[in-house]
Amino acid sequence: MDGGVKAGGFLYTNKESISIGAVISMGDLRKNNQTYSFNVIEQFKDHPFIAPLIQDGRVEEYSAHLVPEGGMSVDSVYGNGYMIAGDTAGFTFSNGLVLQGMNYAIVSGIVAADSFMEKKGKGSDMNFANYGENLAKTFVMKDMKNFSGIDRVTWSETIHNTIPAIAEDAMLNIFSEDGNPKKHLSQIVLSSALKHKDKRKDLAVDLYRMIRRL
Amino acid sequence: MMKIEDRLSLLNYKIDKSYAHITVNPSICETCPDHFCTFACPAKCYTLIDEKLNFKYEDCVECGTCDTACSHGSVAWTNTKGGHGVKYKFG
Repeated sequence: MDGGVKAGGFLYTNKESISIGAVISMGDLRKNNQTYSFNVIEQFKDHPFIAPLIQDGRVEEYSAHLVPEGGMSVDSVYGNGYMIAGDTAGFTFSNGLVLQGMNYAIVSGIVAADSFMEKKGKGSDMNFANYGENLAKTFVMKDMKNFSGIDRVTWSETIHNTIPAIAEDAMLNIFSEDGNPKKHLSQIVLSSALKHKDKRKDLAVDLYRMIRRL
Repeated sequence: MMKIEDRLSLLNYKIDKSYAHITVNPSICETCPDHFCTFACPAKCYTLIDEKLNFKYEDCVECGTCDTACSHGSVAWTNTKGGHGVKYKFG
């Protein structure tokens, strides 16, 4: 986006409407300190790829939400008299294509209710350690552990700038005719990547993280 | 570009006139070096008027952003009291 603010866009098709939105990095917004968050969605709607898709559409509703990525540790989501579920516990993450969170909210909410029922009528102990134990058995905590640190990949310079630049350069090369013998695809991509050799360390680290985390 | 004011006008609110679910500390805001809240809030609840921070909780979409965005400890964020606040049609 303008001013180097990293953002991601989504467009979901519902039965009789669409949901269009933008996810913005708060860290980048802070560094930039001149982009208004409420304008980013309008920039996305004006993008040449998006504008024709929503032409003549009418806005029915506007909303916003903070997305706390990362997830709390299983030992931090309960205590004496309380259990933390859903996005309050940071049970969200994005792999760059799909933003997960609703599923974790539903499951952690059910587990919290079940954990409360386990304690109900069994004395005054209201330390919900059982919630932590029960939650650890579900895909919620398994995913949080498995994908921990993924935000460092999805919000990296490599994903948002370097790889798109390499892809653009490679595609331009592939689809251009300059009268010279054609190169292999691997040679083209390597040649495009070498143009960004100042970023090679970041590229290598982020590619390793991508393979491990994505 | 659709103005934020026009977008907010599509929402229904039941405003609690006796209770502001978010409050700011004016003495902290007065010396704030960045006023990041004015850029971060997606409902334009935080604006600068004559270099002074103006805050209105009535337009809040209850996203929780300002609670995290303000790194100077000025924002005190709570949930709206039952039945009050923004009403969404589509969730």
